[in-house]
Formats: sequence, C-alpha cells, structure tokens
Amino acid sequence: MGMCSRKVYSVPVGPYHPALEEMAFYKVYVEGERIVDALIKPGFNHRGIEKLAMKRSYRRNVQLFERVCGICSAAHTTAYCVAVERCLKIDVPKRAQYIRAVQAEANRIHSHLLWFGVAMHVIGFDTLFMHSWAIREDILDVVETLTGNRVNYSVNTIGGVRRDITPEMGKYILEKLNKVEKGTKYLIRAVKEDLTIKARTKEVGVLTKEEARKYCDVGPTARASGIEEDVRRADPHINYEDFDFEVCVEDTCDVYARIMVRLREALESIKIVRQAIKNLPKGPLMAELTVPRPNEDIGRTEAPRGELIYYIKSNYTNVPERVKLRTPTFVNLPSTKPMLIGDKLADAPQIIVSIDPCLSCNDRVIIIDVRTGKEKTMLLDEIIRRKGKVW
Amino acid sequence: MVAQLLLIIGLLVYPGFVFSILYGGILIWIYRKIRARMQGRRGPPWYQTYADIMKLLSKETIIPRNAWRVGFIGAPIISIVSLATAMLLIPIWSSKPLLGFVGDTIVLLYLLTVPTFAIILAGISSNSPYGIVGASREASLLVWYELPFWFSIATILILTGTLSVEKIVSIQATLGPNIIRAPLAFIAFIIAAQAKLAKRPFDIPHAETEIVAGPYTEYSGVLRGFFEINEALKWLTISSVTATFFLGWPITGNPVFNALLFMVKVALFAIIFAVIDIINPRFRIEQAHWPLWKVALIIALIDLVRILAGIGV
Repeated sequence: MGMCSRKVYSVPVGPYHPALEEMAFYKVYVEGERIVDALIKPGFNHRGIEKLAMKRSYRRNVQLFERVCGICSAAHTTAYCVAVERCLKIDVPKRAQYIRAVQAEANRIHSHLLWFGVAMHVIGFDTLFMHSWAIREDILDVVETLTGNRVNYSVNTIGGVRRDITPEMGKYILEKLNKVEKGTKYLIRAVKEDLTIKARTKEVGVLTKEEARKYCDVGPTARASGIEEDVRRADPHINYEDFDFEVCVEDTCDVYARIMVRLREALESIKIVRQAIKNLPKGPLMAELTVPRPNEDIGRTEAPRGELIYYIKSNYTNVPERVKLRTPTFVNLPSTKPMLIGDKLADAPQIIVSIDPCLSCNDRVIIIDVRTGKEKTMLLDEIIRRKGKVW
Repeated sequence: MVAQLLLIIGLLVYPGFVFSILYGGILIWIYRKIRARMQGRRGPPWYQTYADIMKLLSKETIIPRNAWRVGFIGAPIISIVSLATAMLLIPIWSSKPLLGFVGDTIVLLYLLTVPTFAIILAGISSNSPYGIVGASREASLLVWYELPFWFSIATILILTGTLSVEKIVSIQATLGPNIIRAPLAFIAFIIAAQAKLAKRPFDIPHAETEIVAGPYTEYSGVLRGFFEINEALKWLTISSVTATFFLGWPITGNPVFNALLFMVKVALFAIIFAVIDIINPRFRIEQAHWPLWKVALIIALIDLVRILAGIGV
C-alpha cells in the first residue's frame, strides 16, 4: 500500500487476484474506502496468435482462433469464418448458417450463466453461484450433443459446418432447453427478490449512456447503459434476420442492469435456438470452396461479451496475408475506470467483473497496438474523470 | 488438590481443548455439509476439519520479514486460549459449570470478545495491505455487533435477575427457556452472533474476492492451523453460549443425558448460523450497520424495555 499525496492510498488489484480469473493489473487509488482514480494495465497474457495465423492455412486457422478464448469459442470461429467467406466470396448454405446460430446461441447461454455465477461469487453469494453453474451443466450437455465437445467445438469451418443436427438431437436439445429456461427464470426471480443482491449491485459501477457512447462500449455493457445495439440486428451475418428475438436493454446503467441484461439475453437465446431447430432448412452442410484472390473484408458477430470483429486480407495463397481481430473486452476495459471512480473499494472486484472481462482474448490486441500505434497509453491519458460525483 | 487437578483436566480435556476441538470440528463439518447439500454439491467427509488441521500443523510456517513477530505469533494463541477458557464457564452436564462463580457471565462475554481483538492484532501485525484492511473492517464490525450482543444478554440478565451462568440455566429449567420468554432478544442475539462468527452476510473482514483472506492472508503452516482450530472453537463457544442463555431447558438429573442434550442444542444453533450463512450474499462494510444497529439493536432494546416494564414476563 504505497503512500501518495492527499492521503490517497493505492491498492493493487491483480494481476493475480481471487476475484479475477485472468491476469490484469488494476492500481486503485483510494481515499478511505472511496476510489478516486484507477490505473488499468492489461498485457500479461500475450500469445502472438495473429502472427501464428499468418503462417497457417485458412482451414487450420479455425482451430487456432477457437483457442483465443475458451468461453466464447463459437463466436470467434463464426466471426473468422464469416470474414473468410466474405473475403473469398463463398456462399454458405442456409442449413449450415442455422446450425451455426444454434451453436452460437448455446454458447451465449453458457457464457452468461458462467458470468452470472462469477458475479454472484464476487459479492459473496456462493449458493447462487453453485446453482447457476448447475443450470449451466444442462446447456453444456446441449453443446456436447451438438458438437461432441464442451469447450472448443470445432464445428465451424470455412464454407459451412462439420456436424449436422439430427431430429433426435433436436428433440434432446429442446428437452434440455426447457430445464435451462426454468433455471434461468428462477435466477432472474432470485435477483429481483433478494434485497442484499440489490443492495450490493444497484447504483454501483454506474456508466451513463453518454459515457458508454464516449468509450464506444459494446455488447451487454452498452445495452445495460441504455444503448440499443446488437450486431445480430445490425449485421445479421448468420441468418439472424429469420429469428424473432428482442434486444434486451436496461436503463439503470449499474451492475444490476448488467446482470439483468445478461440473464434476459439468455432467455432470448433459448428462443432463437428453439426457432432454429424448429425451422431447420434442408440442404447441404458445406459450400463449394473458391480459389483465394487478393481481397479484404471483415466479419462481425455478437460474441457473449459484445461485438467481435475479424479482418482478413487475402492474396493468391491459401494463407491469409493479414488477420486482425478486435475483441469486445478491448473496447469495454477502459470504461471500467469511470465505473470505478466514486465507488467503494469493496465494490472494485464486482465492477471489474461486471463487464465480463475476457483478458486472454484482449491481451494479444494490446500488444499489437503498442507495436503499431501506442494507442493504449493515449487512450488512458485522454480519459476524463467522472463529473457530478463528490469525492 | 483434587479440585485443581479437575480444573486442569477440565481445561485440557473436557470441556476444554480436546473436546472443544473435536466437537468444534464436527460443527464445522455440519456447516460445510449443509452448505454443500444446499448448493447441489456432495460435501466433505466428517473428518475433513481434523485432516485440514493436521495437514496445516505439519507444514512449514513462514513469518513475513516486516511483520511484528510477537503479535503475529501471539494472536492465534491468545484467541484459542480465551475460547477454551470460555468453555469452562459453560454448564454442560448439569446446570453448574466447571468454573462457576458470581458474575461469571461478564467474564464469559469478555472472553468471547478477546478473539476479535486477536484477529485485529493478527491483521495489523502481519503488515500486509489486505491484513490491515481486514483488521480495520473487523474493528468497525466489532463496534456494530457488540452493542446488540450485550444488550440482548442484558435483557436475559434482567429477566433472570442474576449475573451467574448457573442461576440463569437453573431458572430456565424451572420457568421455561428464554427463547420463549424473550424472543426478540434471541433474534437480536442471533444476528449479532452471526457477525461475531464472521459468517455471511457479515464475512466482510475476510471477504476473499475483495481482500484475499483479510487478517489471515499472511498466515501459513502451524499458525494458520491454530486459526483453523480457533474457527472450530468459535463455532462451539458461540453456539454453546446461545444454548446456555436461551435454551437452558430441560435439565434432568442424569449428567450423561444432559451432556448429550447440550450437544444436540449446540448443533441446532450451529445449523441456524450455517443456514443464515448459506442463503445470504455479503454486505458491504457500511451496509452491515443497518441489520446490526437498525434491526438487532432496536429489537433488543424493545425486549429490554418490555422486561423492565414487566410486560409479559
């Protein structure tokens, strides 16, 4: 605990900290228990994935990008495949797109339930943490039925998918979804009714709509601040226009809103999976592949944490000339600073967790940025302290 | 001579160290088992606490270089000794405790307060930021829970008109348990005792996701094992005090039956504390004051005033 001027102490949170699953260093400056400033320093987890991707073929990169993040692995391969297919002008059959949607939504449900458990653990409610992870087991069974794996699905490939959904599988998945839906509704009721959860999460880590716009937040973090944006609506990359779903928006802008947005989104995802399995079109699973020509394009998808972008530049070889990815955590991480300022030290882990940081995806991007443009340091210096709060 | 020998046996074996550690370990196991079953897990085997303690006692102890050694080593020992001594003042096999005298209630309650100060000492002398933050949280929690704790006991003392533990129990044996005669004081006591045990929603001093393990962060090996023993003793003494002051009924002529009944009562209160722990998330430090002062203190005072005015006694 180092001394600074004005009786401001700095308390380190991380890089190894019980509340954070992954490595990030937060230097939190406190006056008493009140946070007056925060320094965010990611970059402990550089793996050089983009460089690796420029040495492997398009097909083998699918397996590589699946390993960028263990939780949203379906989102990464979907975004990468969409980018490659747009770049190489491959027309993917509709059945494959539906199967991708099922997989992506199951992935989202599992990710949100996992995050909810962690969020409850951080405020000390281990019972709800265990319950939400028990519900998550059911959705993992669904994923296992769909893909044969629980973490890295290996189903998406360039031009389509590698596994089909048979009618028996569909029936089993629908059965399991009923259980998940019941469980998720129970969790929503528990959060709505429990006074202590409300006391810990309401008006904590507030990120106003203006600030969320200024920091260009994406995904559930932005939607919890009242910004209605969803890549599934804006750019229905895998036939999302066929499904009827709601973009969940909350306007209280605090940690409670982030909890509610994610739980409600899990219910919407269940709706999408049901529709996709019910209306699964007939047809092939794979498209005819084309020969690479020099071109460039991006693929976007709504990962569980927000908008995920892949940029592909192709040449005449079967190896991409440049791959660049921008993960949602990279965008959302700076906005933890205005959330932290003005709140209590006891709420720091909970606020950091509330954006669902996935630092293993993020850190690769930071390192690339430092090498090319040094954007990281500029971004933090530009951050203006939050107004209208007394501290 | 025989009396002194009995006292030494009492301090070391029954109901002192050996019994306290063994039964406290069972209480911790009950807590962990209920917790696991309510969370859809299986839970540890019954000997888990003893296994943990044995393992910790066999490990290397590391004392941080910038820690204050006397306080760092002394804190867990002070805590254990005061809790084991407190067990001597609690009647187990009859209404008479092993070491009873006039005014022993005050001594008993003081002995229960010592562990809190020992934990504050541990946190400060370990000289780590987490320890210091944990100690300061423990200190602010102390201010909030001691008042409802003492007021609910004061209600009992006025109700029974005595300062001796023996009298309190024998009066309950004839007139019915205090849990019925002073129900609001009982609820206040349970809330305050939950904070004394540092269980959810009051486990703020060692909130693992905020300040690692708080005052215990720097402890390892034998000293950490001592704190594990301390935890077992805390469960036992606080549940025993609840059983003594609020459910000192019935007392039969058979000492073995009385002792068994006492253990059942203690387990019952331990289960109440465990269930409160399981169904609650953790409060922030400044939020902890409303259940303790705005709920527990007020209802304890209501019962106190009611009994002073002689309504429904």
